[in-house]
Amino acid sequence: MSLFPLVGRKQPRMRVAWSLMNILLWLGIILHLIPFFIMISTSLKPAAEAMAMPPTLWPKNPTLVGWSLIWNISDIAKSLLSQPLSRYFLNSTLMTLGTIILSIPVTSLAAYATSKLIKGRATKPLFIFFIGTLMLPGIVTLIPSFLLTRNFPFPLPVPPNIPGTDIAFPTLRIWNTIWAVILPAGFSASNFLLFKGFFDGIPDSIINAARVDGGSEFNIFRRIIVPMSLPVYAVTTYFTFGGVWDSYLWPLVVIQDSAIAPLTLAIRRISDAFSGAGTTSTMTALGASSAIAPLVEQGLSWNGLMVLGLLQALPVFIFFIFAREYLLKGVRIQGLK
Amino acid sequence: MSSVTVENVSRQYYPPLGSSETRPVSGLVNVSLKIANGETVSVVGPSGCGKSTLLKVIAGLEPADSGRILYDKVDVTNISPQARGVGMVFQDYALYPSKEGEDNLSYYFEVRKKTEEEKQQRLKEVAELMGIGFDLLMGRQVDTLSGGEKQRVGIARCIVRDPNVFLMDEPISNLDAKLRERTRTEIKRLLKKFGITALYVTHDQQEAIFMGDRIAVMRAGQVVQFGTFDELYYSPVDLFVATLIGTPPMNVLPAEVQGQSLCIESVEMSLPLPPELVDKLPAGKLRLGVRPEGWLVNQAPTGGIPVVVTRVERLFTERAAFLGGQIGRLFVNALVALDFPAEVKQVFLTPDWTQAHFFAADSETAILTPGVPDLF
Amino acid sequence: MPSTRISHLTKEFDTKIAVNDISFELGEHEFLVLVGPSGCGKTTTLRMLAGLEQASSGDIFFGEKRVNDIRPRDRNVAMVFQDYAVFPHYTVYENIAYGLRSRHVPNALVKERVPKAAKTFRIDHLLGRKPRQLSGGERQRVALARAMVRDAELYLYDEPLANLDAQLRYQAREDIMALHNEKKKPSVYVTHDQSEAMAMGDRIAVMRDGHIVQIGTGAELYERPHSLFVAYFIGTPSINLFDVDIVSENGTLFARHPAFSLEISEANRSALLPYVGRQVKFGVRPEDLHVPRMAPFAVTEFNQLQGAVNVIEPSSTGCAVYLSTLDETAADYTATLRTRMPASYIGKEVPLAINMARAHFFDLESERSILSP
Repeated sequence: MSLFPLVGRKQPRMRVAWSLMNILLWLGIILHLIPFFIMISTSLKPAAEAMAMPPTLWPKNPTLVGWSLIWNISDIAKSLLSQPLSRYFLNSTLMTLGTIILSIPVTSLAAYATSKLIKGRATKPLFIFFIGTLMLPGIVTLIPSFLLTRNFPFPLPVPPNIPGTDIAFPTLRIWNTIWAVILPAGFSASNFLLFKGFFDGIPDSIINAARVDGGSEFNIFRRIIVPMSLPVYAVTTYFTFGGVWDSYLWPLVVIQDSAIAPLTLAIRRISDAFSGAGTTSTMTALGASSAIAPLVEQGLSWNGLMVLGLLQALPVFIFFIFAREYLLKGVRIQGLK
Repeated sequence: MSSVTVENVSRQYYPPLGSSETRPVSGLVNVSLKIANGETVSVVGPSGCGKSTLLKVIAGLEPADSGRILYDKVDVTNISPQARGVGMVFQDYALYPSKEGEDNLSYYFEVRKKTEEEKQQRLKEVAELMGIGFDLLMGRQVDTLSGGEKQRVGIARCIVRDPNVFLMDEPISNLDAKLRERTRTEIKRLLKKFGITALYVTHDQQEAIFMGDRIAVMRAGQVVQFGTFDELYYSPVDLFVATLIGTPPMNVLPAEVQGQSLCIESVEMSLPLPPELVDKLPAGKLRLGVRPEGWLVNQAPTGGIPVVVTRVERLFTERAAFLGGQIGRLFVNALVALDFPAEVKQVFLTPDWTQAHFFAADSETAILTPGVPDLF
Repeated sequence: MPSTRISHLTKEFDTKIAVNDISFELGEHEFLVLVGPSGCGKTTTLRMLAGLEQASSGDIFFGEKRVNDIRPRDRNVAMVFQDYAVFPHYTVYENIAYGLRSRHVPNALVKERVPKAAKTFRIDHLLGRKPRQLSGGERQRVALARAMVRDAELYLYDEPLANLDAQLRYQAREDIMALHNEKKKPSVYVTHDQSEAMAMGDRIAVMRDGHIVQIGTGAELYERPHSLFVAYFIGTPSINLFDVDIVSENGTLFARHPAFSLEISEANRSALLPYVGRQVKFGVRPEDLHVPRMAPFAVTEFNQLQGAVNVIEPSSTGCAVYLSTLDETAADYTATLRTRMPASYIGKEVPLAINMARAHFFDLESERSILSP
């Protein structure tokens, strides 16, 4: 704790400040954990208890009814979800893994090249321009990007005709395929900056040493640089994983076919049905729409929504546990927030 | 091993587009050097003088804008660093951090697709060469090694591949003083034992003198002077070389030749010049350079320059002491006997004219230097 | 009365003891140098003096006052760091004034002192600049000026010359001594370079593995080292060391090595008598080897050493010659001569005379000096 001087901590003023700081930090930790606790406890409650006022802290009779209803949701309410929930899980997994496999090598190689290989006088201005464009908020480029997925390489609703003919330019259409999610995420500006920051810190002499040792440029990258950089690979992979797994708006725009939709879209659909049916209030629960009715009858309410939330959050959490050691090292190196 | 010839090599750096500075910065200006087979050449100069750039150009890590690099008679100017077969030792060791000591050495065999037997054979030879305890370093993770140990691995990594030329970029400047002394002896012995052609870059003139058979002094991208220690020490081409070589540095006093005498400006004092010098020196302003051992020190006022003694530094190993004092605002150093009394507060210094250097006041090039003294 | 006193000071980190039970006193106007190889605990000691590190046990007294638990800012010490530690966003003037301003010194006094300190270190023309426009030597002078403007009770230096070019170091050393002479306050200076320590310290404490192994003036450490470590550590080039057998022939003691047999001087005879028949470490300083015909003592068969010249390193006072013995051990040794040996001697075999009156002997096991235990 470098916030406090190492010497003189035993002075009364310092002691008071030290305890205050401790209390504050514990408060912060508890505030962060409360939502998770509520999610878990509510997911284990039966429907009535989940909506009881005042809420109970922990269910009197814990039950897994919410979990089983959600898992079998496509059997019970076919009109709500056409595919079993596992299908959406799979879709999300494919998109996430696809993005990681594409994006991490592409981004890290680009960062390595910018950091260590390209050394001309135009490098710096180009780099700033490049980063500048990538720094635009995604919402600004949403519509052009959407149009691009329909008529690549034209960001237009309809491709123009080849001059002098009535034939339209041939275009590439990835709209409504999982590629529409994977390809645009193939390059990540924030990951690029993380990689570049790390590679900038590697002394040139190591690369030069490997060069005079006879290593080709790619061999140096693969055998020397990558093993040195595992923590930053862990951090970027984690960010990419979280980013794609939790993405909602972009898949909503480019994915129409329910069979290839990711989990986020499915969850949104269910929760919309709930709120549309008014199940969030006991008074109107009886008048639920036909799609959701069988579920509500079998005892679904807030408990189900909490299950969905947990299902969505769990993979990212598991990834964090596995890569914990490298991630923390990476965070230390990067000085990330 | 081969000889290395650098012919009129220039290298310029362009500032990034859009920055206020638009003129190119000179890394190297028309540099020519010839390193004979088995010779060690030290390159010394202040930071930013281009000495590291020269090393990189010879290794092929930086291209030369013009000029040629030859290994023996082979022009390697356009050959990639991977194919030049040089060994390089770096100031920050540049070990591959995620690997163990031995893996650092074996990377070369890996990329050259050598067999395991060849590798083991060669590693064993090198471990023997590197001396006691070296095999222990091989099994350890790089970040657990001390600075000296890292540099031993770094040097071994070069030796293992039997390079054409050894290039060393301040290899010991990150080490402790005592370790530095031992390591430089070790390096020198290895170089001599195997007749290695080597280029040794350093900012420390003492190290350059120790390591180099010949020494190249660089400044602002140019080789100012290239020669043996004696040439640099007794016949420096300009004030820069004169003050760079030798510790403590040469004392420089602005002076003016007035007829038969030399007027020291900072104290407005005239010293009679011996007749043989009067003929050789142009009248007018110049710089008088006197090495610490080139003073005649008197405690009684016998016509010398009065100097306020600020301190006496006793060097037991040299059986001598350096006297530090001030002439006006200028610091001067003079060599005195080890038992020079500490209570003396003023001395009078006269240059030993046979050892005095004279430089032009404006261009700072040498007008007259003593040359190697005749001992007998 | 000592101005600063340390007694039984110890600092333990999680895994190792960095400073182990050290004690020393500082005189009113003393310049003490802590010297030792990296990791010997010298910097940790300095940081405890400054209050940047809490001592695990032991006491630090400034005058009569125990300061162990007093915060750095209340201790009134000034410190100069290896990396200069100048504040990059301040001008030179503000950097120098910082120590005064943080202690709420009236502005009039700041205006008076800052230019004066700047003038002492020849940076008065740079007051308006930012540190990044300065060279390393100039930055270090800013740091010195910052220490100078304050009236601290104790001045601490943490390897302040280590990052400077060799040529600048000489001048910076003069600057530090100027600061010390001006302030006349106790100072502690940390370095790993023994030549710097010898040149600057009134007294020198040699540290190793957290202990002070010997403390004394430069001459004491050099002439009468208590241990092999101090003998080796002090002096450049290092002392020459050989493993020799002490043998007695007709009442005369000899130090015998495969390459030579040297007669032990009368003065050292009694101390070495108990070691007859045993192996000891024999040490001789490079400057106690002489060209035989220039030796200031009688040269006999039993004070000469034959060797091959490997390297000749010229210096302003003569030269250092690196040789190795002619037997199969090919032991390395060094001689510093007051004359310049021509380069043509490289590879030749030359005899050198050893001044046995100035020889050192060390016990092989304890590594303590046999002559001055």
